[in-house]
Amino acid sequence: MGFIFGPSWFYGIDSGFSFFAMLVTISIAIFSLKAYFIAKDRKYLYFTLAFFSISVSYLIKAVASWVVFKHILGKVPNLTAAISTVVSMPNFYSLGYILYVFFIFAGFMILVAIYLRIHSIRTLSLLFILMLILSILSQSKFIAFHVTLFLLLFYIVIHLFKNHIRTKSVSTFLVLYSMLALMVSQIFYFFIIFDKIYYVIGHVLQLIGFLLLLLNMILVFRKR
Amino acid sequence: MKEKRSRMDIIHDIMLAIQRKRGRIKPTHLLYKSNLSYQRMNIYLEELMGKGLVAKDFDDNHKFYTLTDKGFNFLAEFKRIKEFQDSFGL
Repeated sequence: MGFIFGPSWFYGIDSGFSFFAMLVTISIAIFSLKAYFIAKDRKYLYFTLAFFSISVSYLIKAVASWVVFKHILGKVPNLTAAISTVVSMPNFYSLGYILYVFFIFAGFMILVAIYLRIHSIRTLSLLFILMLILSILSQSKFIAFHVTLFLLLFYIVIHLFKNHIRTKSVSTFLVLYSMLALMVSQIFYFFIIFDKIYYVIGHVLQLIGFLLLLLNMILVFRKR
Repeated sequence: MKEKRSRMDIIHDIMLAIQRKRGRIKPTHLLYKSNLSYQRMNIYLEELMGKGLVAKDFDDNHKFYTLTDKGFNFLAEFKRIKEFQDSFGL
């Protein structure tokens, strides 16, 4: 799991990025909930659930990364010792990873279901369980996780691309490129084994994605 | 072929039609602008009047529908929701 795969100078910064992502996604969830109460349309409720789930996943990631870096790195001399300490805490490490994977997959899975108009709960639950099994139990869980997330984002980007072609507005452009940035960021995580800088690039791309989402929400709030 | 309007789209179209006539519109104009049948338009108007967003007004025996202050604020909120909906492709 990519909690501790970055260079040492990036420790704590990635927690900040995750916390920012949590704030942006929760604001989207709250606005969508407000839209649901006004419009009484269930799609807003499902959209709220999706972004709330994504928000929870980034909160877990932020907290877990922060705990690892502040409480463990402060007590051990270097990264190697820190990693040894973390992996010797199987419950904490495993639980954090499992919860992060669960909530982020749940969130993006709901988005895919909304966009592809998948109404069958059985189909969704089957896909969700398969994704979890792949990302938690497989030999290369890290790669499996990022490949699966890439695929989910790919389908979301296709829908948003068609939406942008149809409406051609600044808002649709921002949302399209935000999801595109999140999708492309997953590719960089595959190359962490070659150089830790790819962890940073992946995180920076994700930050850009969430900044674009934030910009879109600002435009929405300013609309009169 | 144009997609069927959602309930929210119809309410937005009705309130926007009134706003564009400086907040006051005759029923026949509203019927034309909202692109609804007379019966359906009245159903929506009853709901909007019940929520205090639209009011009925009379001037020289002519009936008008007007947007209340609450209606103007609600329309602004609707526009934000519509922008949100369009941006995320909902």
